[in-house]
Amino acid sequence: MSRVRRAGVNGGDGLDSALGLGTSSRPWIRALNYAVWAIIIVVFAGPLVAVVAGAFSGSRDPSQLSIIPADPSLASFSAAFDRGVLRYLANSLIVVGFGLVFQMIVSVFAAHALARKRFRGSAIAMLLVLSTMMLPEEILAIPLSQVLADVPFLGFNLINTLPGMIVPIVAWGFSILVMTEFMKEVPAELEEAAKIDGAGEIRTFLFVVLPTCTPALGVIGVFGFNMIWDQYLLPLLVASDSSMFTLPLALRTLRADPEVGLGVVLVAATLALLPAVIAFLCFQRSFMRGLSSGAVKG
Amino acid sequence: MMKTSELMAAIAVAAVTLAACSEGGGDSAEQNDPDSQTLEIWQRKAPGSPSDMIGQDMADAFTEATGVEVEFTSVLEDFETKLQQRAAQGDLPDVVINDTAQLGNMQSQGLLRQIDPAAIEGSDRVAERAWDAAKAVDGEYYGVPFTAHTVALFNRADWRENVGADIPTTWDELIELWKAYVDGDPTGTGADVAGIAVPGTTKRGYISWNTSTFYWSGGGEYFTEHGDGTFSSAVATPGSIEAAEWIRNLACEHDVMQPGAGSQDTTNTKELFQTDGAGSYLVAPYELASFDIDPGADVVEVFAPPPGPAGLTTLAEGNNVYLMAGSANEDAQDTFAEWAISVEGQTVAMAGDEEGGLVRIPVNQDIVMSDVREDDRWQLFQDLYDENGRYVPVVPNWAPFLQASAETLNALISDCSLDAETAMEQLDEEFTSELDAQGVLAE
Amino acid sequence: MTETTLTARAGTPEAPGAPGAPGSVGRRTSRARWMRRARRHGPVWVPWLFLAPALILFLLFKFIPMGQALVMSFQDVQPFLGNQWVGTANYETLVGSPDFQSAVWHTSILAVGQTAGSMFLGFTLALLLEGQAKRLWFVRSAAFLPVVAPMAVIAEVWRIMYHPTSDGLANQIIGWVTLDPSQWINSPDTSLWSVMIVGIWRGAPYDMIIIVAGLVSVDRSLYEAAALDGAGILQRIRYVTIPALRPVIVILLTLAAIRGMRVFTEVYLLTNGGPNGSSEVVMTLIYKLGFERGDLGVAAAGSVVLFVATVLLTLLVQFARRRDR
Repeated sequence: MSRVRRAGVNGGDGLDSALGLGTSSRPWIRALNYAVWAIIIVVFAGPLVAVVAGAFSGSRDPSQLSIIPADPSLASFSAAFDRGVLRYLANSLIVVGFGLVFQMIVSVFAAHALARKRFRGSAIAMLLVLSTMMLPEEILAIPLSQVLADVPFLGFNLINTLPGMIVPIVAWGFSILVMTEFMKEVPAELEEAAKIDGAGEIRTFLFVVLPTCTPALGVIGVFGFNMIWDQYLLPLLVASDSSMFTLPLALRTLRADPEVGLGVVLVAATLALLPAVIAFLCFQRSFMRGLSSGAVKG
Repeated sequence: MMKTSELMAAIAVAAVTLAACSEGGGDSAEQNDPDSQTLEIWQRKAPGSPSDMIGQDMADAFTEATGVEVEFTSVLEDFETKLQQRAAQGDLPDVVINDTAQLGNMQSQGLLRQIDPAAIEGSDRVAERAWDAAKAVDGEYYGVPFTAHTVALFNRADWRENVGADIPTTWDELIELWKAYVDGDPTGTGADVAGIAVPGTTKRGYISWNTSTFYWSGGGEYFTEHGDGTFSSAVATPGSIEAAEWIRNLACEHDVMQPGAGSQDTTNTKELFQTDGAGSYLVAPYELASFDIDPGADVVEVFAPPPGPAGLTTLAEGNNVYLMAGSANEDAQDTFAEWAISVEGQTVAMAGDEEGGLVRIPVNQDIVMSDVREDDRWQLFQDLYDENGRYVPVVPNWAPFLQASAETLNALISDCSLDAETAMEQLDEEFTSELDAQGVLAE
Repeated sequence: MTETTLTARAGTPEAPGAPGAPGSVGRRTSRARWMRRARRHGPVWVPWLFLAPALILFLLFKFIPMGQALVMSFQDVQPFLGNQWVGTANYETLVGSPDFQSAVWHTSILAVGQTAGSMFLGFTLALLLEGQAKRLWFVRSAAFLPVVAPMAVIAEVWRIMYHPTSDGLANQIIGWVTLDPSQWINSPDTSLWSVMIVGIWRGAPYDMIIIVAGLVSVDRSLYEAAALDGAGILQRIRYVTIPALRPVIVILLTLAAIRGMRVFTEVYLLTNGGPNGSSEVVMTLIYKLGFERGDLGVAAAGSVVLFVATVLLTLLVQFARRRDR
C-alpha cells in the first residue's frame, strides 16, 4: 500500500514509461503507438459513445450501433419522456443526492472517531466496520427484503419507497475506512491547538479537522456517487412498481416492452451513463487518489 | 486482546438474537400503516398500455361508487417475481387481478384469502363455469371471477378464397386448407407461407398452452380426477398419445406449421400472422383489434375450430380478483370484489369496443354482450366459452405440468424421428412424480 | 486489550511536565495521561456518539439481516402460513440440488476467468499506456470509462452488440476473422463465456489504473541494468516488473475473486442465468429460489453458504499475506 501511495508523489521522475513503450522517437513506432491507442479507445469507450450516439439517432435497427448518430433526431427523447423516463431520472437523482449527502456525513463522523480518538472499544468498532465489507447487499438480499418491509425496532415499511433505497446505503464501510485513513494523517497538534484556544468538540471537528480533509471528501464523494448510482439489487428489492424505478431498473423493463423501441432504451441508458461519466471526469484526481489508496482495502 | 474469531462469533450471536427479537416484535407494523386505508390493487398488464388506462378508469369509477380510495398499479415484466417478493416481505397488495391458472400456486403458499361466495353480494349472477376457475384443489374458493375468454381460429379469408376452399368443418378439411395455403401460393407472390402459426417455444409453457385446444379436441387428457382431490396422470393414454401425434404432425407429416416454430413465442407468431406469413392463428379475442389493423379487417375472419375426434373443447382462461392475505382492509377487499362482478363494474372494465378492455367475456350473466360491444364477433367467443370452454385442470400448482408438457411437445415438433408414444410415457412419469411432490397423487 | 490498560500496567510515577519524546509516552502516569486524553478527546462517550449513526445503520441493515439469514436458513419460511424449524433440511436441499452445484461451478469459472482475464488485459494495457504524457492520460481516461459506467448500461449495450444475427456488432467483428456468427448470450454453449467477456472488458481498465500507479514506483535503474545485461522486453517484465508489482497484483486478484463469488447484476441482466441454466450463478439462483419459487429458507441457506465462503476466502488471503511478510 505504501508503495502505491508513494507512486503518486514521485511519479514524475525518470523515464516517461517503465519499458520505454510509447515514447520511442522512431516514426513507425510512434505510428504504431497511435494505432494501438486508437484501438484501445474504440474498444473501451466506443460502446459507451455508441449508446449516446444511438439515443440521438433516428434509426431503429436493433442490431446496429454506431459511434456517429445516423439520421440525427430527438425523436427518441420525446418518446422516452412519454414513457416516464424523466420520472426514473428524478428517482435516481433523489436517491443519489440524499444518499450521498447522508453517506458522507455518516462516514466523516465515524472516521473522526476511528482516526482521531483513542477509546476503549475502538478496535471492536473498527472490526465491526471492517466486517460489513463482507456483508454486501447480494449476500443479504433475502433477509434484507424482509427487514426493509419491517425495519427492526422501528417498524417502518420502506418497500416501494425511495428512502428504502437510500437508508441502507448511507453507512458504507469502504467510505468510512478511506476517510479514516486520510484523517489519521491530519497532525494531532492542529486539533490540540484549537482545543487550547477553547474551541469545543464540534467546532474543532468542523473548522479544524474537516477543512484539512477536503481531498478525502472528494474521494469518498466520487466513490459514493459511483456506488449509489450503480446500485441495482437494492432498488430491485425495494421498488415493486415502475413509479419507484431508478434508471438502471427501468432499462430492463423498457427493453422487455415490445412497444418500446431501441431508441428509448438508449435514451434511458444515456441518462444513466452521462452523470457517472461527468462525475468521473470532474473528480478524476479524487478518483485516482481513491483507487490507489482505497482499492487496497476495498 | 480478544481474538478476531471470538469477536466475530460474539457478533454473530448478537445478530441472531436481535434478528429473532425483531422478528417477533414487528408483526403489528403493517396494521398501523397509515395508508392502509387505501386499497392497493395490482393487475398483470404493461404500465402505460391501454389496459393500464382502462384499469385506472375502473379504479376511479370504483372509488366514485364506493368511496374507497385505490392505488392501482399495472406490472407486467416480472409480475410473479414482484408478487413473490412482496410475499416474502410479508406485505402483499390488497387485491391482485391475475390469471385463473395462478390460483393454485398462490393458494398453496397461503397468499390468498378464502372466499365464501354466499357472502359476496351478486355472486349468484356469476356464471357457474367461471366460479369453477376460482376453486382450489381443496374444493374451496380463493378468488372471485372477473373476466373469461376462450380461443377461436383467426383465418385469412382472402387466402381461403384464393385456394377455393370453404370454412372447414372437420379436422381433415382443416389440414387440407392449411396444405392448400402452403402449396397453393395464396398470396400470389410466390412467397413461402405456413398454414398455421404456433408459438412452439417452451418459454412459459407456450406450446402446451397454445395447443391444448387441439389436444383436448383430439381426445387428450392431462389427468384422471378421482373426485377426492387426488389425481393420476393421463398423458400416456391412447387418446392423449394420438392427440399429441396429431399436433406434432402439423409440423412433421403435413408440414403446415411455420418452420422454427419450436423457438417462437407469441410475439413472433403474432407478427408472422400480421405480415402474411401464416394463414391461421388460434388465439383469444384480445387480438381482434390489432388484427383488424394488420393484416386488416377485410381479410381476417374468425370461426370456431372444427371439432376433432373427441368433439370440440376450447381452452378457457380468465382472470380472477384475488383478495390477498394479511390485508388490514378486508371490508374494502370485499367491497371491491362485489363491485368488480356487478353489472356496473364489469361494463366499465369491458370498455366497449376499445382496445385493451380488461373484461373480455363478462362473468355476470345479466350483461348482454351486444349491449356493450358493437363488434358481433365477440358473440362467437361468448358462445364458444359457454358451450366448449374448459379451464386447465385444478391442481395445487399447474405451472410445472404446463412446463413439462411443453417440453415434450416442443421436442416432438422439433425432432420428427422422436417416438411420440415413448415421449408421452416419459411425460407420464414426470407427471406422476410431480403429482406426488404436490401431495395429490392417487394411490 | 486497549492501550490504556497497557499503559496503566507499565506506568511508573514520574514527574509530570516536560512533554516526552514520542517513545516515552508509556512512562507517563496513567492519571496524567487520562487528563491529557480528556482534554484532547473529550468524555469517553464522545467517540461512540460520532460512531452511532454508522453503527446503528450497520446493525439494522447488515448485522440483523445476517442474523435473520441464519435463522431463516433453518426454517421453512412461509410468511403467510407461519415458519417452521426444519433443522438442516434447507442446506441438504440446496447442496443436493444439481442447480446449485452447477451454479457453484459456473460462478467459479466466471470468477477465475474474469479475474485472470482482467489482470492479463489490464497488465498489458498498463504497459502500453504508462507514462506522464497528456495524451497517455487521455487514452487511460477513455479506457477507464467502463469502470464508472453503471452495470445496467453496460449490460444493455453488450446485449445489443451480442445481437445473434450476422448484423450484430460482435458477429461482424468475428466475421472479419472469418468466424461464423455466434449466438453469444443466446446459446447454452457460449452464454457463460459471453458474460465473462463483458466482465473482463469492465475489469481490465480498473486493474490497469492500479498497475499504472504501481509501475511508477518500479526502480528505473533496474530496467536500465537489465537492459544493459541484454534482457529483452519480456524478460524485463518477467524479472523486474512483475516482482515489483507483486503486492498490488495479489490484492487485485483477491478483491476480484471475492467480488466474483457474489456476481449478480451482469448475469441477471445479460442472461438471467439462461439459456437453460447455462450461465446460472449462485446469486441469480438464490434470487430465483427466494423471489420466484418462494423457497425463502433454501435461499437463505444459499446466502449463508455464500457468506461463509467469502469469510473463508478473506481470512485465507489475510493469513497468506501475513505469512508472506
